Amino acid sequence: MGPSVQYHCPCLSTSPVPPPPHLPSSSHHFHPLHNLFFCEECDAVRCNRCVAVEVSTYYCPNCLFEVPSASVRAEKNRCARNCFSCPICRNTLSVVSSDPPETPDGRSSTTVNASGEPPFFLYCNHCRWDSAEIGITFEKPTGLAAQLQKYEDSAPDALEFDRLKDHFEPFLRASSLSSSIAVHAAHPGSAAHSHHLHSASITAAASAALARDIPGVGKYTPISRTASGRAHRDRTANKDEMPEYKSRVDIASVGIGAGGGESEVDYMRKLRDVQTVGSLEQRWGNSWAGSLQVKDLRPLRIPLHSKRSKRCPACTHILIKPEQKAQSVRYKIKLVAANYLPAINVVLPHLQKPIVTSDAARRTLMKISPQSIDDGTTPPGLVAGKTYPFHLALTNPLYDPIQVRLSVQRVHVTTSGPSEKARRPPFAISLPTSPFPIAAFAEAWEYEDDEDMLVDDDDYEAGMKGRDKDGRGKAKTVGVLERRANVTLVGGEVIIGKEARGNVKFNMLVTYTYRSDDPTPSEVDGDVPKSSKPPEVKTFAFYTVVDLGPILPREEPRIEGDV
Amino acid sequence: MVVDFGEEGMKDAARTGSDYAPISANKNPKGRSPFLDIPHPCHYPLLSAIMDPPIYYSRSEYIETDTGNKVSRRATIAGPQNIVLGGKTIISSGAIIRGDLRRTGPGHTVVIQLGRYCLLGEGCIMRPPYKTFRGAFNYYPMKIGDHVHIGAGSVIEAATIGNHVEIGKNCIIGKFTIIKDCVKIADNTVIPPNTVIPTLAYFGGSPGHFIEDLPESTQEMVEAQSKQYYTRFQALDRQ
Ligand SMILES: [Zn+2]
Ligand SMILES: [Zn+2]
Ligand SMILES: [Zn+2]
Ligand SMILES: [Zn+2]
Ligand SMILES: [Zn+2]
Repeated sequence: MGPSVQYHCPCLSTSPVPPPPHLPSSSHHFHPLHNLFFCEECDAVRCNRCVAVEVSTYYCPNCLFEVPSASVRAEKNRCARNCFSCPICRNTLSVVSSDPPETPDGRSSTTVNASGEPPFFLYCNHCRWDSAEIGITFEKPTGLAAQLQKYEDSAPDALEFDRLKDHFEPFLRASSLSSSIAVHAAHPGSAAHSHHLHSASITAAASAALARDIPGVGKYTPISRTASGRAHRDRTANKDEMPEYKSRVDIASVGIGAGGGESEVDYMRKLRDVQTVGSLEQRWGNSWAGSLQVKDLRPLRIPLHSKRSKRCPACTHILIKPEQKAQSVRYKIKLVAANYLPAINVVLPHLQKPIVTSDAARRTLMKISPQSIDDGTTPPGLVAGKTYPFHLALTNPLYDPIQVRLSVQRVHVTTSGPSEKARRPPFAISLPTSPFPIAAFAEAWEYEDDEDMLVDDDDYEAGMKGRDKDGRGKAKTVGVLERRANVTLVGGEVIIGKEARGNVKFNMLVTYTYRSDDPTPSEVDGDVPKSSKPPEVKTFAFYTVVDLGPILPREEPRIEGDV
Repeated sequence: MVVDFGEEGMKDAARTGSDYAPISANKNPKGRSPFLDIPHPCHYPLLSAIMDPPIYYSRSEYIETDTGNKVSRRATIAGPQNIVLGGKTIISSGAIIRGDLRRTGPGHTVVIQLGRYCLLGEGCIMRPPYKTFRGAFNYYPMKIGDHVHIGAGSVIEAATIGNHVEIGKNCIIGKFTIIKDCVKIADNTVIPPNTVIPTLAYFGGSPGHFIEDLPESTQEMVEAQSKQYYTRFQALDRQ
């Protein structure tokens, strides 16, 4: 992991300022540029944490079948065709026939061979588990999920869940109806509110059911999030209206492992081979608590995946809208931050060495430019008590030039004791203070493919000299080093304290101005003399966190003596 | 065994058009770049030229074809007449491509087809998948898309690999695996035979399983990286 730059998303917070980088909460606020979105309406960065998500397509990740959303619920979010995962290793199972082995080595007789003789069974070609071991075989090699339906539907947990659903359904329907009527009376046409209240009443009903006293289970005492009496009143009302539910399955009688009990304790006590106990990972994907034993594990239908649209949480405009087709990687709408904010890449020039692919290449490079060979004497990071240059390359994605200003956010590292005075941060950062331009992005840049785009080693050396001469070459180290196409290369410097520890990590505010071509209504009609007015200049600012890497403890003076 | 082959040996897929398709200047009202399927400018080789160090090879080791494929003389290319490289694809030293494992029968056949801007890392093995079907043993062709990077030491027996795919080091991709577009596979992953990996999935582990979704801009990022890699991969001449 080299040095990195990540971008801040305020996530609708009222304060646009991120926490200082040394706090653990910092990592929750910063993201790689390519994971961020941009809402034009709000003129703001959005991230996966704050966008609203909607499923646009469900599909099976194995057979790639696109499942209509109407059948997703009935099929319990899993593939209803021929896709099962191995109960032992989670690999996808193959359907194999009972044909005799065809290859003499007997090794790969069990490939996908659905054309052979019945009975068919499911086979794992990773761990070699097969469903015949647990007595599951099929007469025909297709529609396996349907053939297994009877096992699934007759399982005690599935039956219990269906009965619970039947029990609550009429009540939920009635309460949602009444609440939506109530809302429509109060705010006609307010669909959002009715939806909100609807889900609130479901939650209330569910919590009423959960709040029942169950022997051996601690009493459920929800912490009321709203101090208002509405939720409370709803719950008491629900309690009165709802008939009591009685389970038809006695958990203790279902058998070993169904949620604990004497028989399970007994089994564990007599346990001889720990391999016969299913691992947590193997049992995790089952619907509730099942048997502990590996021999009771069943193949599971593969859970569906989804493609999702994403909306701005503030204005609900769509930021991401994938094409409907499950395996398409194209988007109808894709508003990503990388098309709006300058991309920033950071490197430590003293660690940038060419890579050689062979000894011959190394020998040649040694003759041409011995100083560029990584001879292993350079410490692989930043050493305490030293000063290093660093480079920031800023790339403009816009079709207009921008002016950029960088500033480092001040950090006050305070020690725990209130009486102690604030310590100085363990390092100091220098960055160019005046604004600098980055040229517009133009298609023509792309065609440049010649070798002179490469920075000569001399340039790296210039950067290195800057620090060796005791800050005398500072003018060269800090400032705009180079402008090429829509990239501006900026140099900075870090002075690291002698006792510094941790990472050189700082928040950097990036402010840029760009020309806004927003057509005003009067301009749209054309030939209006007002269009001669200068274009509006807009400013956008965002925070980044720059991590130059860990600080290594100071070396013994031997190394400095060598230099 | 090292098989040396002439420049004629391996076919370069005939391609029309320039290496970089021009981007339409589809300006939106705010003068910002449009958002539909257009590689982001920060991904072009230019930036890498400034920020990423070159990867040097000795000119004598590599053969460069007319369409910019770079093939190490220390790679083993068996059955070169059955292998198609799309252009600007790099075959590193020690890689083995088994174009000789072809379907039985007369005439020419393409056994292994690689797209453009692919990389086969050092010591990679590409072997077409095989099976016995209705009593007959046969090899089946392997097709790999554009911008596919395969890390050092990986063994590939897939049936198809889509575009913009990154496979880590020391992976095993089992027979008849189908990898769709924009997929990433972690180092040391074992993908069992016949696995299907859907688009924009990150896979890892043994057996390999889904870990998480990749970001919406994966295609642009992978394309940029594979072009950057090709630009950085430079011959160093003896002087
Ligand atoms: Zn956010
Ligand atoms: Zn399926
Ligand atoms: Zn298995
Ligand atoms: Zn918005
Ligand atoms: Zn980018």
